[in-house]
Amino acid sequence: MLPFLRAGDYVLVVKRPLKIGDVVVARHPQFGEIIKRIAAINSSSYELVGDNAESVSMQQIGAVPAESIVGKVVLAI
Amino acid sequence: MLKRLLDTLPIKTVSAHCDIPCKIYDPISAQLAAISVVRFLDILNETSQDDDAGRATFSRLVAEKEAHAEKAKHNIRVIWGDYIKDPQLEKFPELHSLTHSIMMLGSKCKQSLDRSAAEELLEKVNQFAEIFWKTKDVATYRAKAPYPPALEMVYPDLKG
Repeated sequence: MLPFLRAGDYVLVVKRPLKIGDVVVARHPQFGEIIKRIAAINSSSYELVGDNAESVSMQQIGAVPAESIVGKVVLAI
Repeated sequence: MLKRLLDTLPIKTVSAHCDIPCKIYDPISAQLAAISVVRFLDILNETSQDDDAGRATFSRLVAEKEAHAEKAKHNIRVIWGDYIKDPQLEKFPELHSLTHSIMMLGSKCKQSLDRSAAEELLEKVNQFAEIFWKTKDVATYRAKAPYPPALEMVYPDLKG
């Protein structure tokens, strides 16, 4: 997620209405707890993507159900 | 100071990357492994099994031949699995079948003493290297390796 986040950064995550472009923490069955950016919003799921080309792709992440979204990043240190 | 305070709080770690994005991909490691398989087969051919020393050398060569065939498979798999994504596949749709043929040939090289299979493995890995460098807009050329078995290898023309 460079340059927005570096390894070791702290983020404050809260439950808030989500929009495309928000950075969120999500629980993923394969990748664990991940931090990615919202690329698209479907009726009950979100498509997440990393900021860098080397990141796992949207296809690999798959649609993330709304209940798996922990919250959005409102503060990054 | 703030970081020290934060360190004392029960904060969970989340992952931004699910792989280490080192960006260091180069098919040369697979090419060297593949040409080594041919070389091991050639030395195997010249190794007598008449005494213990010869038999020990023979065993080592077989083990190394198999290890290098596996190494060629592994290194291609890493580039195919981690670097190759939709944009590269759209340009080079043959990448999947080429990668699969390298997996099959690698296994054949492990199972047999068939030099032609090892040469074919090297050729397919060379073709993979040509495509890899094309995805980076780097020209390539073919030249005989400056060491035995002096077979043709694909090299990137990085001065271009």
